[in-house]
Amino acid sequence: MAGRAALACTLAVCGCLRPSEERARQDAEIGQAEVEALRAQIEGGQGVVRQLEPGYVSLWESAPRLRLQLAYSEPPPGELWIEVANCMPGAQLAAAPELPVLSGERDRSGICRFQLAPPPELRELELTIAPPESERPGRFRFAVLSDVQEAINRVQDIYTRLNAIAAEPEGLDFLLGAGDLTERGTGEQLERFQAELTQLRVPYYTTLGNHELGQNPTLFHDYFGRGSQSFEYRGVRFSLIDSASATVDPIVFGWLAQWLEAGRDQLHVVAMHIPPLDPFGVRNGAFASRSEAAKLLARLAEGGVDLTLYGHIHSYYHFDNAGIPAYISGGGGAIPERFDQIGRHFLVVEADAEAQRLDVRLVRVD
Amino acid sequence: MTLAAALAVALCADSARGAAPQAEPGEPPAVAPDTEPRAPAPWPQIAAVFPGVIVHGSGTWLQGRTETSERLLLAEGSGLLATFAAGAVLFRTGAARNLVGPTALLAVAGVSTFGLSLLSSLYATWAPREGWGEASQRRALLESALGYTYVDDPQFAFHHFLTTRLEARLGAGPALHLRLDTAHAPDQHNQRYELLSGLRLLEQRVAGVAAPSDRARDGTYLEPQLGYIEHRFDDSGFVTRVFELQLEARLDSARLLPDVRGAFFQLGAGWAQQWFSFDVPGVSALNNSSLLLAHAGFGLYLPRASELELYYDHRHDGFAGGLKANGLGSGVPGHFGLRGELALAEDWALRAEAQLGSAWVLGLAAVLRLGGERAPR
Repeated sequence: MAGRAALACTLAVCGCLRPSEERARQDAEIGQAEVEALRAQIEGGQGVVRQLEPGYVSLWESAPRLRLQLAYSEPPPGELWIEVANCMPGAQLAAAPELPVLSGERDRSGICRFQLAPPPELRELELTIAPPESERPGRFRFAVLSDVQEAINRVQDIYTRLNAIAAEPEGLDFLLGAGDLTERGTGEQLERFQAELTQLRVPYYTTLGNHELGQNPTLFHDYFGRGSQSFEYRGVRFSLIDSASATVDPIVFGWLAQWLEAGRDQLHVVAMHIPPLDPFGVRNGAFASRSEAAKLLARLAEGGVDLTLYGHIHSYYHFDNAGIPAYISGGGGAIPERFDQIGRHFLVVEADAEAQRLDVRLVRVD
Repeated sequence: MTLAAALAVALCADSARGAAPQAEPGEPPAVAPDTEPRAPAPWPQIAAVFPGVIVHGSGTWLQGRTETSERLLLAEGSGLLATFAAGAVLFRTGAARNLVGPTALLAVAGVSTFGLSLLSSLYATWAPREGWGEASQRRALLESALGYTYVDDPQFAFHHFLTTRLEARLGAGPALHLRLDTAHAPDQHNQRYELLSGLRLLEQRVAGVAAPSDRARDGTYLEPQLGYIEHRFDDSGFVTRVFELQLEARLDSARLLPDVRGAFFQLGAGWAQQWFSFDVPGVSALNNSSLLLAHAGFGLYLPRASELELYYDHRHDGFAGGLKANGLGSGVPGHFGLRGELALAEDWALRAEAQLGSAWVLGLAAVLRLGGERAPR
């Protein structure tokens, strides 16, 4: 009995020191699923397998490019449907070995559907779903929106503004989220958030915030995938980091080292929910440990990161951390910071991989 | 601020309290006479836990100590009031940058006052009326300590530190207080230096104090402090430097609760500025950020000039940092600690400290005191 109590105490203390360890381990499992006769794996965990049947695969895409490997242990059915929610406009499906795509379309809610006819002898199939230009370095725009929380009933006009920007000649390729989508991260709230996203004309890639931690285990991963992940789009590397517990787990630090190395010669944008340092330190809407915050910033600076984006503080701040331009944008509508004259807002970032430029613009909604 | 107000009221009121039996200005009052207990033991001790957790002073009230119970309830009420008031302001203003400093301090003070009131309520009911010990009357001219500290921080590879402390008290009433602390992990390229200077005010003079049986010794003091900390993380490519202004105080329990002896409140509040110098290949940058300093501890005087303190410290720098937690308050809390000092001889002591924040910190040091004042035997 005493031994069990001691073990419970030890686990509780370890949990205090690494509150996001379980989520990092959850991240590592994202994008994998298995049913009888079929195993599916999404490279880099950049999507969630929501339903898996030998003739039907339903996915949530968490990055602009998605590579899916399917392994059959018996002959596949004659018809294979791939359904990808949160799909990029213009996304195409390429199969290896090459297979004809019988049909492919993207509906207004952002779901792409592709129909394939795999031959009976096929056992392994690799599918890439992405817009053709996604690997080509170039100019594009993306937006940043965080901290919607209880303002879900007012997010529609923000999406209307984003859609208007997407309709401009320069376009808008996707919306990046820095967490706090919901108030408590319940299934109902995450469902609602996802339902509202169907109003948005561009896909949404996000990490989670401390408000998603109201459930144990966290449900965020079932809906939106990994809390920490990295992807490349048009010559720019994006790394989303789970800092929702005011810390970055050592496992994620390990992944970050690989992502920094991969993005060393590219523009590199890093986004997370809780900023390492709060511009108003006495508030400490920041990491629990100042030493860890400095360690992370030193790593990002050494890795040549070009832009850091944060949420959590419900206002707009522009500063630099460890020489890296930093923006806090918590303008999704959650209880605003008073007297700041900011109100609801989002950021639009113009990225040009060839010119090595990232220009950030504040867009006010209210 | 609740704590500061309590301290000010206690010190001022006490100085003016001519009616307290055997009390003189600057000295705590003698123990108030008991009234008839309302319930025999162990009911007061049980009541101190429940409903004492909710209604502080329940145990002492059953013991017939009405004034103490009223003061505990007042402290609990003011703690809750301060907490809710600060919470409401933080919530309504979204922790607005112009208000967050004083409001956060009020919140910490409110929660701390509630916690200290609860611990006082338990102590007042459970402990012997005269306590287990009294304040040390050793005012050493020089104090040096050599020790070892173990740090378990999942973010850093370092664990083992050699620690030293050199402390001096120059003059008396007020005394100039100087302290230098170091922590070295030479193999792991991590060093911390802390330099502190303070002016010790309102402290009971040792010389002339009568024997312990005649009047209780009082450890109360007030000390404005200036400090500088440098912490080098050479392996991680940064150095942090902190300049701090703080008001530290110790208030013996008898100052607020006349019939509760042998305990003390250790309090501190202040502001600091922290600079981060990053020096990694290709980058040389400097950032700064402010720090809210707040400390609230409940301590016990133990036999032979030893003492024990359980505390909350709002600091987010240092080895312990702040507590990591999932949820709405992520990043905001500081750390908890337990500090003890065991006197081995008149000039020798052992000091131990455990902290839990972002890291576990466990330290043990041998202390040698030289010169200065001693209480008459």
